[in-house]
Amino acid sequence: MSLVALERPGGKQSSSWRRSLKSRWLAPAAIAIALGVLSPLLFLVLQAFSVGRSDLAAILWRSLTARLLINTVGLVVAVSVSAAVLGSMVAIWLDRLSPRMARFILPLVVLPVAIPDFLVSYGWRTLFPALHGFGAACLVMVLASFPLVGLPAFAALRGMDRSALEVAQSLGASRWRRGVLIFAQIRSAVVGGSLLVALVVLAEYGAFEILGFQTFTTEIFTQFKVGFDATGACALSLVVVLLSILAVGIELPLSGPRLHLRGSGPLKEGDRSRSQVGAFLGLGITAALGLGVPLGAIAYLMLAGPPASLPSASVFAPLWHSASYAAGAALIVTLAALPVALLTRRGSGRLGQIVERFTFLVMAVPGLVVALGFTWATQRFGRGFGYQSAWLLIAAYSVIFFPLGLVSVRASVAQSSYRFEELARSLGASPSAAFRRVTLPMLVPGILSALSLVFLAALTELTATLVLIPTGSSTLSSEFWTFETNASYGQAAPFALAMVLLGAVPTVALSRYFDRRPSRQGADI
Amino acid sequence: MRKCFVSLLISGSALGLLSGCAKTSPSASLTVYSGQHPQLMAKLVAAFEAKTAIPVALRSASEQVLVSQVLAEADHSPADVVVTENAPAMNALAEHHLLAPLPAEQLARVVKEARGPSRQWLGVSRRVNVLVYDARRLQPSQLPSSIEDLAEPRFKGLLGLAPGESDFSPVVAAYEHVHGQAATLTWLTAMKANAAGHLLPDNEALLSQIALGQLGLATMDQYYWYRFHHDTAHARVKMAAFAPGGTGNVIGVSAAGITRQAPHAKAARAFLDFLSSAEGQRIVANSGAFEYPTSPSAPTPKGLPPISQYGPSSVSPAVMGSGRSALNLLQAVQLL
Amino acid sequence: MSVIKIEQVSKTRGNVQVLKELSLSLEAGSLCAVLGSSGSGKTTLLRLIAGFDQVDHGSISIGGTVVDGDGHFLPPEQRGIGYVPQDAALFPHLNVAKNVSFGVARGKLAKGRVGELLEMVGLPGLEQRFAHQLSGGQAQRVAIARALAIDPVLVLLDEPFGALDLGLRNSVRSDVLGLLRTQGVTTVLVTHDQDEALSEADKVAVLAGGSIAQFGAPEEVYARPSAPSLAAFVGSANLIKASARNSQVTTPLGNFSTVAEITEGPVLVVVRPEQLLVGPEGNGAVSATVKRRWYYGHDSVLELEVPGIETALIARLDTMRVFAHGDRVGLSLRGPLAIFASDGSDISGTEA
Repeated sequence: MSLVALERPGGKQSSSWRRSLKSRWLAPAAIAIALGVLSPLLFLVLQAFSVGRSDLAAILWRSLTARLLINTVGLVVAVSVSAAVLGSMVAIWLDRLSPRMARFILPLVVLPVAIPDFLVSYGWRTLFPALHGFGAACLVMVLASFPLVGLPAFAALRGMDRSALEVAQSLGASRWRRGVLIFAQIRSAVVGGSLLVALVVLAEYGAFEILGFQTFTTEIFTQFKVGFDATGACALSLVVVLLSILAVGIELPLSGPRLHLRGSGPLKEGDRSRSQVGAFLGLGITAALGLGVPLGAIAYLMLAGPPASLPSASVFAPLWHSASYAAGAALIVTLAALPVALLTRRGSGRLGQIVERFTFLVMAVPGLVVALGFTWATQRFGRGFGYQSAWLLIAAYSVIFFPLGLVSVRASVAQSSYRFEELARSLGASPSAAFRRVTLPMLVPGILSALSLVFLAALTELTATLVLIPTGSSTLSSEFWTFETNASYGQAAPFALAMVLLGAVPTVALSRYFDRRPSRQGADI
Repeated sequence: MRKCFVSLLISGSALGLLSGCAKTSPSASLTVYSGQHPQLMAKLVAAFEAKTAIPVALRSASEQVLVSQVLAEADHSPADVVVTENAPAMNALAEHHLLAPLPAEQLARVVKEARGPSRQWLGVSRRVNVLVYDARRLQPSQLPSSIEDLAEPRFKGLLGLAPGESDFSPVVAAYEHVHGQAATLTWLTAMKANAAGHLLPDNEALLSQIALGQLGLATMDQYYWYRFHHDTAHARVKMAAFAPGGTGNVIGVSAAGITRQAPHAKAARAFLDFLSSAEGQRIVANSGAFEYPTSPSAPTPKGLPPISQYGPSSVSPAVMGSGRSALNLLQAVQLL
Repeated sequence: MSVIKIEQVSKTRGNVQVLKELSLSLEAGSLCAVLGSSGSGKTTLLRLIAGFDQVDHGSISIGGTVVDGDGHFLPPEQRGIGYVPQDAALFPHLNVAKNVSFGVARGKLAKGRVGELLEMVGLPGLEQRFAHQLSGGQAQRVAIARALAIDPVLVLLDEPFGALDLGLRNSVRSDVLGLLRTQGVTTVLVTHDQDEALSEADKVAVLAGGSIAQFGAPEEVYARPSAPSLAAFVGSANLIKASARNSQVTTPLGNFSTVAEITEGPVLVVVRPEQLLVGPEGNGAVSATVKRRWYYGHDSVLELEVPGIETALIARLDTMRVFAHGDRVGLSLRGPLAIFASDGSDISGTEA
């Protein structure tokens, strides 16, 4: 018989943390990191309020604002819910396949994360030029972001307790009720992923510009055109930040209690066969839409013949820059996310959860605003020192993508319960040795996942890059943008292809992580 | 096996981190922030470097971002020279007193309309606002003769607009200058109604849509059409000028200026000297960017009619300021 | 010389005071079972001994050294205590061999020691397996081998056999505890299973109300419980209301004299099921009716209805004679019975 114990978030924890060597600096370090990550918000607030009250009111209280609110909130809700549904279904389909098949198909389903949203949207526009407005925006964003739900949901399914389902089946539960049971077990993974989706939609700009859909964020960029400075943009950014606070606030109660489950691993052979056809079909269609369309658009562009209005540029220099900046950011984010994630193990975990949720807010701030914040800060406090250096760009990436790394590490941290460290200590290991020999190895999957996800996201970053990249240097995304905005689509395509290929590398790494069998200790969701 | 992979990944990231940081921009060169189309700037920069052996670090981005960036960078901006695609952006910098005045002899080389207020910038290239249309759906006789006509109901469903394009607000500013604010609002509202469902992000999108038969007509700077025609040779998309002297024949000027705190002021002046020189202007004319030079003595680009043929509007870019008023109007009718 | 001495230890968790002035002392080499219901603080006690938590008041000494209390605190890694938690908690990223040798420094690990330990717990040859490839019982035994590898001064077992299948439980338990006894390791076994506590331990400590309600050999705790609630908790008991007067106790099952003088008034008599003799009616035995019967083969349990006693009585007897539902039987008592005053205090024995 397996055990299912319900535990409220932050349940019983040992109070011996007080004496642990690490704990003395863990909380301050985590809080310092979180404050650093939130620093762009400070810039936001200062800039927004530097303009007079009445000007601020003039920007915010317009009839356009009401329309933007409807558009933005409507889209966020529609996309989050749809991505949650699609992501869950993808996870269920993947679960039905044999582990070997799943390992092969998983990258195809995850890869959309590596494709910049504006490219996805561009691909769809190329295929269906009439595509525009709410429906188009919804379609594009769901296809671009569902892996953010699908991946954690799949991990949760792998850790799921199947015997409970079997019991339910024997009790005559209908498919629907069994589905509800499944959902209860993966609920917090799905809701957490949906939160990320919501924040991504809030911050998206390029894709909506192409599709002609107005949200607060597209309006933020328009404000730059109007005012040529950041004040109006920052005022609107504040609204977006408030919306994201709302989203974060909703997620917590929705995600339900943390479950400790004994994982039963992948489905047994016999249960699998009948549902595989449907799974293949579903996954095939999803991959075709999510991956096939943008790749097809890239291929079409490359084959449509490049007009030579711009000199062809080499892919290799930008490739190297993209890879090294993204890799640097991935490393920094992962290192910085560990203390914050570990904080959730301490005490009641409440402090850690609050800190963690707050860092999510930075996702709502457009990359451009973050970059200008860094500009302003280096000017104000550093006399321009370090401005437009690679270090600063990597720092900006690290701030922008910190929540992605945190979410990835968090799952592993939850599994590496503190009692393993206690046990190690009872066997004679000092606190740091216990951490190093026991906890750290258990964090490896989450670390790998964080490195991969942040690398993927940083590869496609555009708006902050344009501001902070060292002059004369370029990345794949900046080159793509240069060619694309000058209508040299044929020349833009190789850079898009390079982005996807480079992104395939960590995606495969990610899929290997999910092939790990669950431990007997069960998966903590 | 897993340990190997993990350490490989981590050392790869560390290597990336270190090497990425090894590249710092060289400090002894001229830094140019360009919002102009890269093809033109690349040629100018290359020729300048060949002639003067001064290395140039070129930074290309959209002019809105560049201007915001320069404003944020304030006193420690690494930018020596700023080149914008249209004058209003440069005028915005001028309003914030971020530009250094240019030598009079340089300004004398370009036409009057290409000189910035208080000698703060000079025009590098210019272009004219024209009409583009779908030749299959519209006959030349059906085309509007002036930009005011675009508000007529007969163009409902045919008109496309890209209000966010940097060459549109000068058109609005010119209209306002000629007809006043109230009339401009009426005109914009009517155009918005005509263009319902066809509000696009940029001129390239407008041209693509016309080629696909989704749009009937649009207004933009002439060089967009020339470049589109060169790239794709769509017989369907044709260009026509408004009647000479009309409000719609706005001259858009790409402006270059030196920042007040430029770290390499001497090199910056040399660069602007080059841009306004005969050689620089010849490059502009022959660059394949299909823009007109600002120097009266420079040749007309191949394949283009002389700019005087258009009967350009008399509203000069310097007069339009930073276009704030025009943009406010666009916001008022919710085109932006 | 006592290996471990716990004095007046109190611990509060949240708003609840889990342990109240608890005192306990254990001899070297003995196996002490701490018996308590869920939530009684058993795990808290173990954690305090292991050093994972710190006492609020009181002190804990091991081998004569104060490890907790009086301003001292020895961290867990220096206490040399082997801890085996409820679910084995094997490190999932290490195989069995690495788990077992975890606490031993590389250089100090004698060749073949891991194999030796695994043989001891009855799992030879499983060195290369991982935690998720082991059954519950196997994992539990590996955890014990792991704890033994460090030559601990004390081994703490937290309900280690609870997760095992019934058939496996007894054998694994005997093997493991037998091994610990052979090795002479002082052991504290926390459990809520009375059979386990009574059958395996040298001493039983009953944990109730945050402190040790009774401490002694199993037979002591069973035959002479210090309170009626304990009587009912350790093993089953029939609590029969009676009245006492002048060294005489009058019960519905007969009258008895007490060994010592007791105060007059109502009393509670504890009658263990095996002390209730069941036979044919008559001969001065009290009549009763069999309400239910459980037949185990080796013995059987009867639920009996006796006039004058409201709750049914439970009797356990051998199966030489078999009774069925509805049979009328005669009851008599045997053996020393514990008596408590109505309020639960006082204790004295009787002779039947």
